[in-house]
Amino acid sequence: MSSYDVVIGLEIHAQLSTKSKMFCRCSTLYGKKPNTNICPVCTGQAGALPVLNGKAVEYALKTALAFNCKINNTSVFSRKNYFYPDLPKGYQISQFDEPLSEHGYTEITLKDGTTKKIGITRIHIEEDAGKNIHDNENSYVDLNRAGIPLVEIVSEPDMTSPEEAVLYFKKLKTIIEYIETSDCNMEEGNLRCDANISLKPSGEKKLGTKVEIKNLNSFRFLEKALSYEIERQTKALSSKEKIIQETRLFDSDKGVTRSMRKKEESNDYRYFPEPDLRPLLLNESFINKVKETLPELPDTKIKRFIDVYKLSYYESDLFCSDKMLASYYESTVKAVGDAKLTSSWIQTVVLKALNDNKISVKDLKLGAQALSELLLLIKDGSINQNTGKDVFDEMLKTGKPAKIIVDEKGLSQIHDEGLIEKIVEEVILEATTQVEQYRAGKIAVMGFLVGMVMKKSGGKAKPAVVNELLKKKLG
Amino acid sequence: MTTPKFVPSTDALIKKLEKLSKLSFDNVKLRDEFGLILGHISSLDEVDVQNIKPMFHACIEDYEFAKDEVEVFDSELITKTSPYIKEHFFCVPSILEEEN
Amino acid sequence: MSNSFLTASIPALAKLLRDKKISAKELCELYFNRIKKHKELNAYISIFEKESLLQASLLDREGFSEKDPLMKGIPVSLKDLFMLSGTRTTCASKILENYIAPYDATITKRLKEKKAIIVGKNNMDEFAMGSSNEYSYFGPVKNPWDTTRVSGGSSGGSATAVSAGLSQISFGTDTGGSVRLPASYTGILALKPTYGRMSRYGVIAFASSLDQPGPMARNVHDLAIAYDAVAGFDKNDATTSSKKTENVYEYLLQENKKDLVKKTIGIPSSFIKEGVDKDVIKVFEESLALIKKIGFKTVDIELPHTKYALDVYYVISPGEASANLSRYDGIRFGHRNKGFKDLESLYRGSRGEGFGEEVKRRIMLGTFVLSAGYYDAYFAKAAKVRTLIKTDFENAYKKCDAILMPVSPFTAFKLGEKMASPLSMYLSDIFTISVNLAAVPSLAFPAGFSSQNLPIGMQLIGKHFDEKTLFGITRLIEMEKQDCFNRVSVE
Repeated sequence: MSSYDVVIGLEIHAQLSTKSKMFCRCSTLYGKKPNTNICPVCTGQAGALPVLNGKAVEYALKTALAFNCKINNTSVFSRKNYFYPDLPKGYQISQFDEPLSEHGYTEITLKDGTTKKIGITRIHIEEDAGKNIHDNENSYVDLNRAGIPLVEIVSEPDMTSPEEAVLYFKKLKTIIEYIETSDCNMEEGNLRCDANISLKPSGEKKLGTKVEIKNLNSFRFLEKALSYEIERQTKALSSKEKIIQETRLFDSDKGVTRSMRKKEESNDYRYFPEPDLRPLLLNESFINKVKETLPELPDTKIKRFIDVYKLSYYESDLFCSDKMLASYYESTVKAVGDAKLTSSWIQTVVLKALNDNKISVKDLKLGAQALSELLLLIKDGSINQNTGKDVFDEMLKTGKPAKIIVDEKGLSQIHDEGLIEKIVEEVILEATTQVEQYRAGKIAVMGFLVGMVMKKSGGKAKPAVVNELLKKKLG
Repeated sequence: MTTPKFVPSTDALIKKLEKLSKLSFDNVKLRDEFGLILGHISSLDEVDVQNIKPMFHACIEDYEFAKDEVEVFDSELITKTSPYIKEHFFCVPSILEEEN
Repeated sequence: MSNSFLTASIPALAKLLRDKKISAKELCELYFNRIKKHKELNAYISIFEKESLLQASLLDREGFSEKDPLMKGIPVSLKDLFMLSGTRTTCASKILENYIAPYDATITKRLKEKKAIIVGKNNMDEFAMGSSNEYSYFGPVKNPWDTTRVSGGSSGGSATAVSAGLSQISFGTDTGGSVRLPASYTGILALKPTYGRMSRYGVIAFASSLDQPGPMARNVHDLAIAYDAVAGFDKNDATTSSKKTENVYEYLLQENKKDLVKKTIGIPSSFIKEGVDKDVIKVFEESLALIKKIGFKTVDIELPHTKYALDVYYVISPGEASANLSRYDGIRFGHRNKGFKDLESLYRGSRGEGFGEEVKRRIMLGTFVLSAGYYDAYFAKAAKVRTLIKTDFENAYKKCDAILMPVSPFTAFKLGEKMASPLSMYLSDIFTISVNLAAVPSLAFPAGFSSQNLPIGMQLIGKHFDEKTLFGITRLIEMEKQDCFNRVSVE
């Protein structure tokens, strides 16, 4: 069976997190009663006119800069004309031949650690449409969403596998979360993904027929849908069938893609420049001002963490996947002065707590300051790691600082060597079997003996000291 | 003014325009007049526009963006006067494809 | 109340109201009696008698002082495409026959702030598409000078209302001549301001880059006061200019004729010769002579690309309109057909039943010029020729300050005369259209009469944002030739 090259491009729409809509001052708040965040402009009433939201322009520009795009000093809004109940004016105000930005890129890191550049053809601004829901007889239109600002991010067809596509989508989401221009909440429809996929015989230059798959709004669905499409198209091509250029939807229950009911032939959108909005003029000083508001982006932060904190790529990538987590890590390290200790704590204890409680760092009540106090107590030997974990749980529950909990519960590590020595001698007398085994050469038994001492000391003995003393006394 | 020539419009063209504009142009009079007008505006063919920028906007001085502040409009002024509202939604016959 | 008050200008009425020689209620009643008396002219689609009289009574109780805006208590009518919140705004179309406006147009709001009394909504060509006001769902408007003839369009109802003394002033809109043409046919004044001078927010759109609301009045001072009341930047309309508007009425009061006549008037002679009524040419020459008599210098100018103006207009305006009218789809408001079986038949039926023939014709044309394969040859090309037309004016203004031209090649024609050929109807606009394409201002004024005693209007076309000069020159003309101005055409 001949092999095929897979060519994938993604078109992602992100809702910008402005307070008001793109062309009117209606609220963008999610979850309101239907048709309440509306006005003459976003419902396409007779005589209504659009007025451009400056914040939306700023956020769109910031997004374009974060993806290394070339910014067009002049861009033009265009009308995209088609009829649909959720499109009140009968046209969408978008950008066509003169978009806000073009020729950008981002990088993804593959499993083997190599990086791959994914080109971004363009990023432009447009308005969202309303929402339709259905029952058996009718459809129902809610225009609360109509007019919310969107950026459309179109990638080059540079991805060659579903995995790469997911990595790209994830990267996109992380970067946008960093620059805070969208809430990126996929359940609320802030971030939506359409994929274009085609197959061509290995090595051939000419691209195959493109199939579009719409509304892949989770990483899992994206991966599954693309995998299924590859299978479907490979089967078809191998049987010498032609691939039809069409739009398909992913049925997540069955795990397959299905052809959308034909919307007649492809639409002629009759794009023309929007006469109600002047060309968007962005001068260099404005662009630079926005550029200065860009935070340190994920790739740069990851590299820096590796260099400065000597973390592995895995650790660095893990922390930097969430800007707040990275900041949490960094603030803690700065206070504690121990990058490795902090890293291990965040990986094991903190992330577990976030997972168990189903929250993210921003909701964590135990801030970097509080964590660093705890880690300092461990670092200076006041408590050991195990105790530390208990204290952490208590801190989460009560909100009390580490020092207070240690004092209240008398958890301080026992430093008095004499006291520890007494307990060690007790254990040696009691655990005669294990002592014999140890003296006979079974070194592993030491763990058991240390454990016994720890238990007797209520966990407060310093394990290293216990180990040393046992070794000394047992010879 | 030169006598306009008649540019015949094909059935296929008319059908396409009907589909795009959601109208019916069966009326022969409508089609004939369309052909006449097309003939007339074809006089633009003779104008040399090399290196001329198109004028799509009539007023292009600098302007200010709108501030990102919410202004509440009484939505009932729209929904209460619409004859097509059913339980807060605009009700239409079933749309066949699936949505977001 | 006597009809003689109809020739009082707004400032004169304001003084009478202040001196309590008349009341706002009486003035209102005068107009409503006349509206009812001259119903057959069909100048109105809606009238607000009860509300207006109530408002007038309240204003009378408030009293009138020198500090009040001049428009206070003045009966005003609006072309039925200005949103007036809570009332029917039909655009003379079946598709909006019962549409209740959910908000006020900015112009409406500004008139309300000045305490003008909005007496009713004027009849017009459906969606402002027409030059004779015969394309209205509510029937044609008749010319008060001769009711067998058209009023001109598309602001025909507004023009007839002002001409026949059915309102003091009116606001219409001008996309290719729609305030100037009916003004010319009915013997009144009208201004198409510079594009960007007047807010289009709440004004039902026909062609977005050409539409401009404009005041219509019987004399220059009224026109200026109406203009001052509403002109200027609007944050709800991104195409309005932030250039400061000067108070034109005050300018007219102070204006020193000596400075004004230093300006030069341009005459585009070569363009005018073709296909123009001899009466129109005669009145044009009389106007030219009068201009010279007043003391203006004149100079010949060329507008070489205006011969393409009609074609450019009939590509760009339907193109923009075809998109502007897509929102009338029977989904959220307006007419929806009965017995639709699916979404497609809802769209086609609602729009098919709701729009008149001329509107459908223009949507068809507009859809065509924007469609794939034709966009470059038609819409984009026309936009480039538009630049050439605009440049023609800019070049002309290197030699002159204003241009004098007839408004129309002929006078008001008979009702039905041009209905058989839309193309012949389009030719009414040959002198007016280039003005909208170039986005410059133009003031139409009554300049004389034809041998059949039909009004003939001339227009003064000005530089961008130089409305002041147009008003100044027209005022000088008005002072010389009073017989054409400030007339009420019927008893």
